[in-house]
Amino acid sequence: MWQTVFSSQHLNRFGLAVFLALTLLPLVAGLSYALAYSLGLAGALTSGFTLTYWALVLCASETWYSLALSVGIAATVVVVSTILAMSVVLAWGSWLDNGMPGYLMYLPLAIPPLTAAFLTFQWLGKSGLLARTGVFAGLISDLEHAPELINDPWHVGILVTLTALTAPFFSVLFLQYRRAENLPQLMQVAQTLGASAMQTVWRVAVPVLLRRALPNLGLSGIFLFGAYEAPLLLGRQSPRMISVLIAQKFRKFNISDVPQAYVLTLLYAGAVGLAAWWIFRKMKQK
Amino acid sequence: MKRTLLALFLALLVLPFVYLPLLSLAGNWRYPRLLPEGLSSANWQLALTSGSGVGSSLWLSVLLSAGVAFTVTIGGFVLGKMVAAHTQRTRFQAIAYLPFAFSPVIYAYCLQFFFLKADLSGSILGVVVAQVLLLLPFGVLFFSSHWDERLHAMEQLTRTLGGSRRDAWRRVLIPVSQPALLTAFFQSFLLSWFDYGLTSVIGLGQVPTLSVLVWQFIGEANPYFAAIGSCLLVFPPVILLFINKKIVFRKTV
Repeated sequence: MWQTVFSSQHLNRFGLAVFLALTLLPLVAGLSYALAYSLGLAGALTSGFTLTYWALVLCASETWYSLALSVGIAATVVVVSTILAMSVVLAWGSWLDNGMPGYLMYLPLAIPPLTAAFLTFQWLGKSGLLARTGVFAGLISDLEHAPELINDPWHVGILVTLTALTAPFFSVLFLQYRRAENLPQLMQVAQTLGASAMQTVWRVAVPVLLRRALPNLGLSGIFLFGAYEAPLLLGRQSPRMISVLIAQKFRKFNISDVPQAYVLTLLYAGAVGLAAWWIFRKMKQK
Repeated sequence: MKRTLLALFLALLVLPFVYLPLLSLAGNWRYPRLLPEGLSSANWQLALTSGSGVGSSLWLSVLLSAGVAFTVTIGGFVLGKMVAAHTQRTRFQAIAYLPFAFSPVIYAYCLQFFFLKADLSGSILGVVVAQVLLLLPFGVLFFSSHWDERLHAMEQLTRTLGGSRRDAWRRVLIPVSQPALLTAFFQSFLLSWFDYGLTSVIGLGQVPTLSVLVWQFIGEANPYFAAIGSCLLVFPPVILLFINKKIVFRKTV
């Protein structure tokens, strides 16, 4: 392998040390400080070794609701976005490959999460565009009867926003894989060999696209697990997604919440590390 | 039918880019009106001339994101070469994924103590450093797949033909890598441009980038100014996209 030869000849230890110092060291230092703080060994509340904060966090139902909510929202968004993106690419793939439709596909990637959350707030809020359209069309009589779609118990606002951000990215991803894997030709071959339209989709297109995209879908799930702006603006006070819960514990004026925030940070880091390790192992196996 | 549905789908993609300018130009757009009562540039004039800080935030965001993108691109290019050449390449790539996979706001809280100690919190420099720390792994990951056997062979050939190491970089590696360098620059520019969580924590609200300002306007229940800020946030990337879609998003996967 050229890498072996190249590395033995040109390995720049200083460069790799810089790489580790700039990527791994800040994270390790931050998490080490978080661990020390959470154990009462560092920070403003230094009181000697204690597991009190860990016990408080691990026994709080808020922690597990928050983690479960974050996993649930991330998984739902990945699944719904995959279905939507796959449908778009399989239905309109040839039209979306070139020209103006091809450009328009990329447009949503220019929208930051904060703006997407703001748009959802404006459109799905109690007096938002959707409710106004409902009143205009006579579907609802007044705002009192408008459905609650933001800060709602089912987290519809968050789900819609995150799906609206993720599905276009997946569509672009699937379009690229469609080209790279010669999917139209593969589907044509399958149909020539006697497969029905449904069989071609389920036994050829979906497996080909999914197998190629799986690591990226997993990584997107990790990013969505830590989503911040959309749940901050559109979520309820309780339960909150993990990023919002951690940020609010850090921001509270009650300083005794800070060690708990660090415990939650470590739990989050553990979950992300585990998921990333699993995805990376799968990628390596491929 | 299929074409009609496609047209509807494409209209949905364009909708935010019509709604935001419309809201920013609306004099009054309250319930139950489906469309604004009238359009004028009054909001824009007020936002750009009053003390709302929109104009200065725009320039701050442009300079900050450009600085971060430049550092990440150069750093990623050089460090990515070393990672790509190493026998433990996969392990290093896995390491690079870790900070990048972290939620920026939580990563910022992890770093906050050190930034406070280094007196970097609440400063533009602090936000730049924090964003570079967050995005450099992206640059390394991006370029570690760019530095392939072909590029290595080109470098070796230059050296075999008598070129110095500097010649190889200046006359071969950098020119050949220009499209990748541009892609990495634009992508890291966008990641920095879109950031809110990390900037708000490390900047302590004292580094008013556009995203921080938009959040402030939303909090003040000022949708018209929030729409102006959002327009300024989304249209530069759209312009970049139309200048060259392939350059900006070529390697998003």
